Amino acid sequence: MRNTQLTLEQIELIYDFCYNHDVLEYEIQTELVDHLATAVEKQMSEKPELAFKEALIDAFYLDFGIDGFKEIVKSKRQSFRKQYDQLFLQFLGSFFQLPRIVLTLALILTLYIALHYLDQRRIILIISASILVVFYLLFGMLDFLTNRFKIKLKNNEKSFLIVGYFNRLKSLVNSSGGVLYFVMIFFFKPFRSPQTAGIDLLGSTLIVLLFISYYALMFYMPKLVKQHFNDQFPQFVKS
Amino acid sequence: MYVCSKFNLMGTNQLYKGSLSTIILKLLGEKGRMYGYQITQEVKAISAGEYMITEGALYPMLHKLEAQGMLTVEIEMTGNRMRKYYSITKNGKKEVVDRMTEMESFIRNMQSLLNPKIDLA
Repeated sequence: MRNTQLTLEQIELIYDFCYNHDVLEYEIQTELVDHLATAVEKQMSEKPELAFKEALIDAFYLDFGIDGFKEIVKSKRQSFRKQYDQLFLQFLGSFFQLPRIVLTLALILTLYIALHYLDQRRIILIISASILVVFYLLFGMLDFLTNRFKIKLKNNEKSFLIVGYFNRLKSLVNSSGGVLYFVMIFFFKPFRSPQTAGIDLLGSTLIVLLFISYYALMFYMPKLVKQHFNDQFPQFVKS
Repeated sequence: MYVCSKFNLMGTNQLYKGSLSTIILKLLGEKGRMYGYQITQEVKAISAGEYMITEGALYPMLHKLEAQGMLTVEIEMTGNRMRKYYSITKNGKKEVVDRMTEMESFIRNMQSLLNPKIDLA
């Protein structure tokens, strides 16, 4: 009986075939390559006279039709992003458990007291803004030094969904830092009047929640995404 | 468009399309972990050609269920290539039980709506 198991070279040809049909990311290619390879092997075992390239074209049109991989690629890109957005929300959900809820409420209350009752608003503004700037610079330096939004790959020829997600994460970190800064400036405005308790409470809550989100985007998410990538494609990670 | 059926002209297509995620979850719940090609073949086999899930519908649904946390994936080497296996998660198992209950009650209600028993007493 004819051995129909595809060779490494043939598998590489299927990867090229997917790339030439606009499947650029390796995570998506891997699944489609396995599908096509299985279909090709089946066809070649049923029709031994069939050449590899013919079997590949047949399998492609039979299973994926004239639309090809278009919808699959689009949906995978969307669901990849959604998956990590959901994990981010799950993290925030799990963050607010009993000991941390108390800590968060204590932080909100402290900030509220500072905003609402202390007279030295100008001093509070300067100290808080300085703390924020220091944090922002420290986080920026940390990012620069540790490359937390970059995955070290052995092979730079391949394109991965994860790289695009890291870019998105990085821009989210930058923009949430900026939002946090402007919210602080707005609520800490020294001569803002009238000084209502409601607005001060809203300001304190927003600032603390934004800070927790910023922490999650900066520290938790990159670690999680890298861990998932390491588990799925350890052969591409530079140690 | 993606779920072909011999009842296409009657609009049964939409019913199957709406049930695709339930079909996948049920299949994975019964068979354990499976890869994409295998899922297509299994669905073709159990439906005996009555309807067919095409790849253009199957993979987006698998990706969606994965993103929703209903499925989890593992990638392993098989021969000369990598293969992505899907398994159902705890949430997925719960979802499939809920959906099956919903579907059974829907069918019961439709049957009583379309074939009302006339009480002559």
